[in-house]
Amino acid sequence: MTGTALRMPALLVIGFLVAMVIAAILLAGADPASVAYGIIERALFTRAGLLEALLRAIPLTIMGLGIAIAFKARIFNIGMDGQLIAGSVLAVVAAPLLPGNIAGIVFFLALGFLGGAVWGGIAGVIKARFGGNEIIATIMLNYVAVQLLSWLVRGPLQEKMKIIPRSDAIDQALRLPVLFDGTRIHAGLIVAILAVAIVALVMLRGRFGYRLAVVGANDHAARYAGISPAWMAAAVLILSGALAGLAGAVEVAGLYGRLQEGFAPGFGIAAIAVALVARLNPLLVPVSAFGFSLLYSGLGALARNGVVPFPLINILEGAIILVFLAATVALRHGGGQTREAPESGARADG
Amino acid sequence: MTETGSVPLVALRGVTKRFGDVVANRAVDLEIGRGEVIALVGENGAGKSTIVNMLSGVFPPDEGTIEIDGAATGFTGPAASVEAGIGVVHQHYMLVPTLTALDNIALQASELGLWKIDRRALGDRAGAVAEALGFRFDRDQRIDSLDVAHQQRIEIIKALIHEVRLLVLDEPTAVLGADDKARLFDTISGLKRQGVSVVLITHKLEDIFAVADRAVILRNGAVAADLPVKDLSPETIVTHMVGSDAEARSELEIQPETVHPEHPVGEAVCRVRDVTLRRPNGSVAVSGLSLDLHAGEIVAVAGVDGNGQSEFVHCLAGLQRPDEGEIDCLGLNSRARTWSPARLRRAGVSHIPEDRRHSGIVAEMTLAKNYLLSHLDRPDVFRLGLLRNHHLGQVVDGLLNAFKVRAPGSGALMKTLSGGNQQKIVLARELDGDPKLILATHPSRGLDLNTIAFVHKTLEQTRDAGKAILLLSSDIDEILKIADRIIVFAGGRTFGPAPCRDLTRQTIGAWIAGHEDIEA
Ligand SMILES: Nc1ncnc2c1ncn2[C@@H]1O[C@H](COP(=O)(O)OP(=O)(O)OP(=O)(O)O)[C@@H](O)[C@H]1O
Ligand SMILES: [Mg+2]
Repeated sequence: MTGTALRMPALLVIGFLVAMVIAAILLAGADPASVAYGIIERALFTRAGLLEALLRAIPLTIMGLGIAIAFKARIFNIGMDGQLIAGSVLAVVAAPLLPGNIAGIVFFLALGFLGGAVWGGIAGVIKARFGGNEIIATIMLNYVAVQLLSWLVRGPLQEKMKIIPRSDAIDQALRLPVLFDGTRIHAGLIVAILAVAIVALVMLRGRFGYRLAVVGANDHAARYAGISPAWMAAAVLILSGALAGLAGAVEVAGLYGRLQEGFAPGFGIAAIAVALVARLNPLLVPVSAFGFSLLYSGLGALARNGVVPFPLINILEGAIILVFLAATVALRHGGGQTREAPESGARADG
Repeated sequence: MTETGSVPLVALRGVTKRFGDVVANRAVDLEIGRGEVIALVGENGAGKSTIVNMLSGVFPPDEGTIEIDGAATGFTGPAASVEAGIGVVHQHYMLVPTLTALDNIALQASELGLWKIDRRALGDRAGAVAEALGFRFDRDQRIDSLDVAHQQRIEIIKALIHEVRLLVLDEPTAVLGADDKARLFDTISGLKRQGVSVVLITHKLEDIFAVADRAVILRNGAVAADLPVKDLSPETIVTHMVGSDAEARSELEIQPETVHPEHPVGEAVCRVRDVTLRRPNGSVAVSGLSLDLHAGEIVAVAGVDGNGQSEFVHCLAGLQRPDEGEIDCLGLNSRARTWSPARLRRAGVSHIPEDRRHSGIVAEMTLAKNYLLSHLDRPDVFRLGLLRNHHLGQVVDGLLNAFKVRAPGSGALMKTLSGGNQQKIVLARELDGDPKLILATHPSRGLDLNTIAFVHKTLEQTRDAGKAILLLSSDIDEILKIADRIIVFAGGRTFGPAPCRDLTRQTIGAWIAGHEDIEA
């Protein structure tokens, strides 16, 4: 329960994982030092690596904010992948109706936001109205969304040529403009920065943010104070779903210009790691997102160069995320002793 | 007192404990002899629970030593303390509400790693302990279906299941009615006869005289007096507790038994009509209850805990609806969709909840944020939808001063406050602003004498300012002191409401026991 109580186990986890990773790399016949160097070199010392990381950090930041909101209220939204798909599908479907100017871009993003909100809202209703578990609901909705996308890009939304399972490209005027010539960094960066500012204000200084913190910390006290935990759960799922949908629309409008299968692989889970490492603090989310993106860009280089076998990349990725999480636990100050006496497990209000 | 020459069972020698800048215990010397009952008293925040936490191995002293049988001991954790024969019932119970009584006991045993859990053996042992204490022990009963007095018994059984030579009870009587308290004191006397030592923490002077051999009085973390009870009077105890602080003393001036002056009573803010309330398990808690609460009066709800009082207050707070009948309160009706805690609060109902730790505070938040819990609609703390942290801090610091809360400031975390000071914050918060109806559930529970006097004065002033107050209390003295009318809940029915000045203690006592009146 306290930071101090968890420090030992956290350090053990770190040690264990590091040992495992090194062993795995050795077994694969590579040199751990050069693998580590490869990751770091690509990520930190090449322009391409840094830019790739920045590009990746855009959606991860927006989604990490959504997770921070949800987890703060102790609502575990595991369904960001589905919400992201729902948002991008809605935006792409409605794209032909949008005007080809700035307003159109704003509408496009707003539709992504809306689509994600609806997908998150379904889980919200299940949770608030019927008391269903949001973890199960959001995971199930992920499957639905993935299947839906897969059907759409092979059926009604498939491109005119009907060859590749993907949609037609959206109007060039709806694409997010590139900010810096010679890079792929697009205006989604501005969206992400705005999102950080707004979410930070809401979470740290707003009534809504206060309510979510109360619901997350003590839902009995929330009820007595007139804050309905069920209502908050629904609101939180809608909002974090909306942010996932927005991230989806940004990816489509900024990078791909069309819908295709698996265009944001594993972002939902990565966003959880991003938010947890940022300790649910919206101002730290972009930092954490960029850190993870550097990691991905380094790992991506390894995979392309064939230094280590591909499955090991996934193992490395998972292990590094876990090490990060364990480290944030181990480094957290316990804040001295907590008042309540001994056994953490016996806390009535835990 | 321990006879000279014999080694005390447990001794604290020069024990000091600091939390940041706060010195919770200052060079405390305390000897506990075998079979001795010691009352540990002092104002809220004097450092009583801190001593308990060190005795139970939650944290070690910063300076000084704890000796057991004359040998210095460094507890490495709660298990070491249990092994040394110290059993503790903490101020805040550590029971898991959704588990059964036996599971809770097993949980502790396994967490302490003291034995492999053999549920049957453990159950038998718990049963034997309960029997020796004269408790009824139903091992399969869930904790959340028990009232506080019974939960406390489970805690005591949990403590005594090990070989205990010293039992420490942190404010056990705060939550007990007269009968349960008498039973607890019997238990303590019984343990004493078996040679078990007891440390009893309490804010009630009568408790000291009822069971203790010796009183240790703490002031600001230091021992102010350590005397045999037979040499003490209530006045000397109070003097030691508050020291030479003349202002604090004056608040305690014994007021003459108030002859209730006539208060001009305003219009009804809340009408309760033929209300029937059921408990979660479907049994009838109260039936046929009708009552009007007027502006400018204090109506007391009395009775043994568990006779529907909590359900009634929950109803008025919007947390549940009457099963039959209806309530009209400040323009809201209990049959309407709008009957919710949020709407009622906005209409002017403030609620001091019964279980403040559980439902009144957020331990991990600052005092300022805890204040916000019931003042989120206060216009001046938000500007353009953004919280004005600095302004909020000032508002809350002002309240901390007014209620003499012992805390470093509004930025302190709630969990770092002593039990009584946490209670004070809830009271301060709920009385602040402009509530029209105050649901005050056991407002003086866990508070020291000064603070109780202050709270009573505040409630009276609030009443005189034209607010309606519903006072739920199991303390007849408190009720007679400040209430205007009383209604008694007993065995599913209600007696009264009747003006307090028309009633004798005997009548109220008879009502509480469920009789119409005592035979003349
Ligand atoms: N974990 C902690 N962090 C910071 N301060 C603490 C902590 N625990 C206790 N204190 C402070 O130490 C002082 C003594 O607290 P303690 O709980 O011992 O008081 P107490 O005598 O039990 O009071 P009460 O009658 O209100 O229960 C208080 O000022 C309290 O704020
Ligand atoms: Mg205490």
